Amino acid sequence: MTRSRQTADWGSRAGLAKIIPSSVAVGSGTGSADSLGNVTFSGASSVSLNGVFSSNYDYYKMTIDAKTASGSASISARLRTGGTDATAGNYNRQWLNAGGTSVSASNSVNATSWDIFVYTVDATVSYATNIEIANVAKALPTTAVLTHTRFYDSSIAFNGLAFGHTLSTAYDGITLITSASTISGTVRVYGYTQ
Amino acid sequence: MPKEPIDITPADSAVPVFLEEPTDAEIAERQAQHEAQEEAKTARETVRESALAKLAALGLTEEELATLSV
Repeated sequence: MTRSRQTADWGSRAGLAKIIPSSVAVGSGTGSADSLGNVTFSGASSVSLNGVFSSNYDYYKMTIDAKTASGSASISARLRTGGTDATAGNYNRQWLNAGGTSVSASNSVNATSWDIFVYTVDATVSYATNIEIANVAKALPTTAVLTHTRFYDSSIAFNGLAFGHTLSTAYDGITLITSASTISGTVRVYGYTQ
Repeated sequence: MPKEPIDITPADSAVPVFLEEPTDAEIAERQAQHEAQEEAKTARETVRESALAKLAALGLTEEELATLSV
């Protein structure tokens, strides 16, 4: 095998593959997914991506940009399979916040969803974040890590969250839910090629 | 009881899009979650303001306080 051939093989197998969901569901408003897997939504009380996780990948990256229609809200996430959210109290979360020289933390276990934006989102700032998700489509507990940069009061803070879902269940989708108002934005899901 | 999904797929969507309206129980749960988080946020701010007031009472200047109030 020549070097150029090896490079081509590595190129085809390396990196991230953006995944087109099999369908999208919103609790209100509108949504759509283009042929590249960009899921956009507007006026949504929730947005669900069905058929994005499978045994094709062990690890996933999910990027989220969202802001509310008005006022502040928090956004939570639930795993789902077959078009139905997993709503039982199996969601654990550890949160770490660092702003300036202040560091704070909190822990939540046996909740019915993951708080992915512990600090509230609002209508003026689009809160962008990404989540790394492991083993979600396997019959294993799901883990995830989120890192998030928070701008506020002309300052900046770091938010890091670790998530666990305790059931050894395979899930094929995820739902984002706003606690108040509605949200607009874009979600993308990528699989780490293997 | 979940409501029947309604097909609202826009013309430019590559996949089907459904409207799955939340149940009354789900709406109530979100409202409770929102109120709990607002209360927690208020509590955090109250604790922070109290701590800063105590520090000010100890004689810290505004400049010194500003370095702590991030």
